[in-house]
Amino acid sequence: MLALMVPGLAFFLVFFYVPMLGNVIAFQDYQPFIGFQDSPFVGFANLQELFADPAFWEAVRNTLVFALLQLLLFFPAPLALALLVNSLISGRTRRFVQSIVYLPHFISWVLVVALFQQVLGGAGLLNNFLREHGMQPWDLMTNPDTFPLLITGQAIWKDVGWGMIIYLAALASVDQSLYESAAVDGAGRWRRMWHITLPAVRSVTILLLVLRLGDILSVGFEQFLLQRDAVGARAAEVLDTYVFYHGVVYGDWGIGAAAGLVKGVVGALMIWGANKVAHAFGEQGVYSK
Amino acid sequence: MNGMSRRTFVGLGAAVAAGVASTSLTGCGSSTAKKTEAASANVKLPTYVPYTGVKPDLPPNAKGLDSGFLSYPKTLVRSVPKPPGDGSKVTLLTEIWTPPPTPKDANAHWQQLNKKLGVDLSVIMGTDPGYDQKFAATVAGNELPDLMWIPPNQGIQHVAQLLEAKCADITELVSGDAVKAYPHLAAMTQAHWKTAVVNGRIWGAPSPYPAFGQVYGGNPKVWEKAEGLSASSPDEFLAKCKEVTGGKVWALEPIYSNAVSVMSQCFGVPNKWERGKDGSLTFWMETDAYLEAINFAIKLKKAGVFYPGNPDMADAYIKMAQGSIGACVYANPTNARKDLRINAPELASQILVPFAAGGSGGPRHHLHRGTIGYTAIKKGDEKRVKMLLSILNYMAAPFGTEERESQEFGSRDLDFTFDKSGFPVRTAKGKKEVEGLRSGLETATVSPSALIASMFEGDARVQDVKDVYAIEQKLIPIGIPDPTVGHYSDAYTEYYPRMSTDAKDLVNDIVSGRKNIKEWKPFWTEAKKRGLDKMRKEFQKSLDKSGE
Repeated sequence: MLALMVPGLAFFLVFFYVPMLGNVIAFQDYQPFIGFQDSPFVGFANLQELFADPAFWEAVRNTLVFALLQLLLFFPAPLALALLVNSLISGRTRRFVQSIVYLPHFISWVLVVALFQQVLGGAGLLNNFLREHGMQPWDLMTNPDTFPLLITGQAIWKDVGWGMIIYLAALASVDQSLYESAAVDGAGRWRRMWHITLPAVRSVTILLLVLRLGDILSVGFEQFLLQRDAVGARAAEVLDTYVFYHGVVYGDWGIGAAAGLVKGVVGALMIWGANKVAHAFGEQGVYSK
Repeated sequence: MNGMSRRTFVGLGAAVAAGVASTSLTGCGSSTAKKTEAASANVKLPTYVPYTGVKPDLPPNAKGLDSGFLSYPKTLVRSVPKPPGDGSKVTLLTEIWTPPPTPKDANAHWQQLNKKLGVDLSVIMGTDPGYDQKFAATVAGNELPDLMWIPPNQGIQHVAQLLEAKCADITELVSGDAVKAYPHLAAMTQAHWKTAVVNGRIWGAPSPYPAFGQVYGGNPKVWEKAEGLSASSPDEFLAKCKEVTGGKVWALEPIYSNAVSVMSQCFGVPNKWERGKDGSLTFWMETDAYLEAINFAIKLKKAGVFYPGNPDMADAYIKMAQGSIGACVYANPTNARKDLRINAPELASQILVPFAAGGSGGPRHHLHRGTIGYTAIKKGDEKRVKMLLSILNYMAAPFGTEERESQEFGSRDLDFTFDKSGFPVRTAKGKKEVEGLRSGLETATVSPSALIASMFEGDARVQDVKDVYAIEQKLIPIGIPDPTVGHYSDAYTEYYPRMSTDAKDLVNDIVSGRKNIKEWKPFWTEAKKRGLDKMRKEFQKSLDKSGE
């Protein structure tokens, strides 16, 4: 039996744990040509330089703002949509709606951003309409102030249908007789939702929340890279693009890795913290005590 | 040169484009740093022997004017008498700018070419972006390719150590008259060869590229309204931009950093660096004239003549072909004409010749360094290195030779046919099998740039050559080179990528109104401390040593 675990273990070892050793470059003046072994160790110099860089803190701030907005606006959206779709009676309509709302998930960010540009951009549908009717154009795509809402909107448009799947599965497993008996007892639709539906998806919701919190600093990459120049680095730089620019573009591999490491450590702490919260709710979380 | 990525080389021209780094090494041991300072000084460059086997219709000149070919020759010259190879396997690491060709096993053209080369040539094809990673990964593996294209602008680092440790020093084989053994390499000018000099020695065959720099190319239909894309003063240019803007048409693409870079030529800004009478170097973005160019871009922005889009929009050229953008910045006049012909065959792009915008310098044209790097050769015994040089010599065969045709177009009737005016056109098979491979080969090395009618699509090829030739004649009197070409600075490799990205971000922010122009000068005061002064010192030292 244990032998059957070997492929799985090897997978994690080779593709997750061994590459993690590469984080050592966060403490080196690393150059790919020289390799790990010969790059000089610089101790915490990379971290010091990182923390002294105002651009890093801007990236942290932006990441947190986007993460918070996504948590508030994006996280509940799939649940709401799942409840809505679940309430559709006709199986055909339901499948049709489901397929339509999944689809955007498979569209790459390049296309999503291009679509938004075509509709909301300075020369897009909306603004051409405004101009033709003698109104002031309103360029949403290059406005740094509304950028956080814009990117959250894009994320919801793209992924809300995908996020819905797991909730739909949880809803499908609810015993229909519970609803029937509740209805017989005189419970209205809101009461049924509160006492039957929501408790049924609670553990899934909390599990997803824990996972989301662990990953909270990964707010996206291509989405920001693509729109960074439109609103300026100050508004659109997030930790992942910071790592890209410093590590790859500027060739400061050590600093890029240090920023990635900070992100990883914070993520691990968040998972641990969120899991505590899950236990407090009496749920299992990602692992039990 | 065919098929170069347009955006990349626009970027190459503008020092401000994202992520451009340079050759040579970064912050490493001081011993190598000292060596690099010697740079190109004191090496005897190969003798320049222009190829005379094929006579151009429009003559080149020593100042850099391209030669022009108006027709496709009926009979080709055979310039390499026998296959240069020795039957062995040869690998080439290069970059392609087109979709990849059919793999060698299924590619009849490739196999045919291998017969002509006399080697079994395999090509490792990198793409843009990402060549630096492909390069690092390939070089880090144990099997170093025999031939490696080394670009100066894609962030490849530690080039000097790599060359010293693993590549063949070909100085003795090509220096002075020795190069005459490779006539097509001898047809490259000394300016070309300078690119391939590191630590005072020559390391490979240059990859020539047009020597002209960034220009605005315009859609003639849009500019018709304002009597064409030309101006004699900033006010006139602004007025013309306003005139053509309206409805769903905007005069200029919104890539602000390129706009400022091209406009800076009108304001007399130096080409990257300027050497004062006392030998001191000034970086172009530090100058007051550059600030004026930004100010002018702000004016254009306020007038609403920039297309309302993302400053890194990828489809500006398409939008221009469709007529919703009036003018875009191109890497050079040839590309401006070529590109619009591809997207809209009936349109002949107009080119804005820099006008005088006041100030001291008068209009200038920033010339390109004239190469996109060089192809180095793996260390080996002299026989093998010479054989590989002969392969590169074959690849650099100029227009009008059999060797060039077999690389550029493949086999007659199979890979290409002649159109009604006698120009070769690739067949569907040729597009699949020849185009991508040619792209990789011409990146590695190619004959010096020339205006060739078959480079342009459509039915007005001859006129295209004449027009671009005429534009080049106008640009030459105001053309200035970058004085640091052929000189190396460690600090440049280390600090430049970040400095240029930050500067580009700041130009974007200032022109779009998110930041105040007052932030520009302090940025450069700060930049001095963050590496600019160090680069300046290193370049200066290298220039002083070489007596330039």
